[in-house]
Amino acid sequence: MTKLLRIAMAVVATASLGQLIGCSSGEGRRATNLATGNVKVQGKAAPGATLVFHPEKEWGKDEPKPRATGKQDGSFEVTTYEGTDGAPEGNYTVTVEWYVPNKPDDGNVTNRAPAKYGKAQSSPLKVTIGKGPNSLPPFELK
Amino acid sequence: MFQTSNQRLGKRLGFTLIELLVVIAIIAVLVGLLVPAVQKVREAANRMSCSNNLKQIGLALHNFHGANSYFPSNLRPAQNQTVRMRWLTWVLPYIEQDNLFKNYNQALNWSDPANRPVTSVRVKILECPSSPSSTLLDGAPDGTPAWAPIVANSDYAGIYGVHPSLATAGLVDVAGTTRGAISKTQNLRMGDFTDGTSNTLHVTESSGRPSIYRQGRLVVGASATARVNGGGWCRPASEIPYLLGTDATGTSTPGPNAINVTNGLDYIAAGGPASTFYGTDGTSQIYSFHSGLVNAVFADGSVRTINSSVGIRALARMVTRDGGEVNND
Repeated sequence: MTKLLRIAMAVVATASLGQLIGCSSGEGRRATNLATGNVKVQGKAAPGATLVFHPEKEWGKDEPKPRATGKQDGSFEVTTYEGTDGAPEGNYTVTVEWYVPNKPDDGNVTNRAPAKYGKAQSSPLKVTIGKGPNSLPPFELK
Repeated sequence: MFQTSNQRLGKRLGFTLIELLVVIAIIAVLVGLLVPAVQKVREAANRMSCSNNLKQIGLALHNFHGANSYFPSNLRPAQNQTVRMRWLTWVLPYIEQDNLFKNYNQALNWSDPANRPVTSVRVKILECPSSPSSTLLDGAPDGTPAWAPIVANSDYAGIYGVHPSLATAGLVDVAGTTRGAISKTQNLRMGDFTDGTSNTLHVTESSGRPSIYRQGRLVVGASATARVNGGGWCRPASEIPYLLGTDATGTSTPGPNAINVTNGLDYIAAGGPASTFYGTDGTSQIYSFHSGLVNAVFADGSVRTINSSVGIRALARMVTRDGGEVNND
């Protein structure tokens, strides 16, 4: 009887250990909310412009910040982990950079967006991501 | 007594159905054990063959440097300032393909009909044996018709630099679009590798192009409407333009996942030849069909494997040749 009990306990212990290990590999992702918007530089759509959403409270060093890239019409969908999953709830400062090859075939690129939008310290673009799908106000860079 | 023992012996002369079934079951189990093992050995052999290919390419680059005191680049050849010539074309004489090199007309583009007898030749050491390479040929987005299949593919590519948006996102320490070991703006010398040649990635894998693969699955077989811009061994656009990274699904850039997520982005969806992001450069990413790693030759000629789990920050340190970062990996 005691032997049976011991075996049963060992089985339960092993199973729960597996559960624990399984839980710890959850990668610590934050819950995200869909977010879309549009970016224009000097009144023109900015395809290929890269946007980074800098959270108000600093995240871990290697945690990916929400990002987006402008499409042909300047519209964008925010990505944090995969696909167009959006961004976690919170307040963000958005940086916009628009790197374009100097010539179509050149190795060097120039940022066509005004420089102040490229740094989290100086960018005036502030957004709040709430629950549910977010439609961000259009970003008009001048 | 005698009769019964004879009868027994007579019975023993055949196999019973149960005995046969047991034997068959044992054989099935053995085969089941062996077949996956054989597959694994095949993959291990392919991986070794692939790292040998990269070793040959690395040696060829160094032999070229020995003869010319610079590494070959994707600069415009002296004879024609409107075309580009890929570094792989320059090293052909150093991988025992001198005859191909002699027949390549440097005054003409790689896509020119006069160069196609050279550029359509498949070169074995430029293809990774693990890659499901087909007889599919690569072409140019501005060809007539677009993407007309004319040139043979290669699974190996260098990297021009690290995209600055990754530094803005805080994912890498140092960015720069011309900091990579393969250049399209200058002929690099050994002295330009100030991070140290053993710390700088020279050439790695971008397999399966121009079809789009994501995490081992064929997503789009190359078609006129969706494909990676890159693949042909003679095409300068086959270089990885930036270390850029993607999200976990390999569909959007930039992002923290840079190895074995996708072999490239859809060039047409990114704007095609009119794209202000890629320009006429390629859309390739670091990708191999080896499980969990890619092979890479470093600028000191050593071939190493880079684990897929290596973060983009550590990878960027390897990609830059003059980033000034400390690399502990």
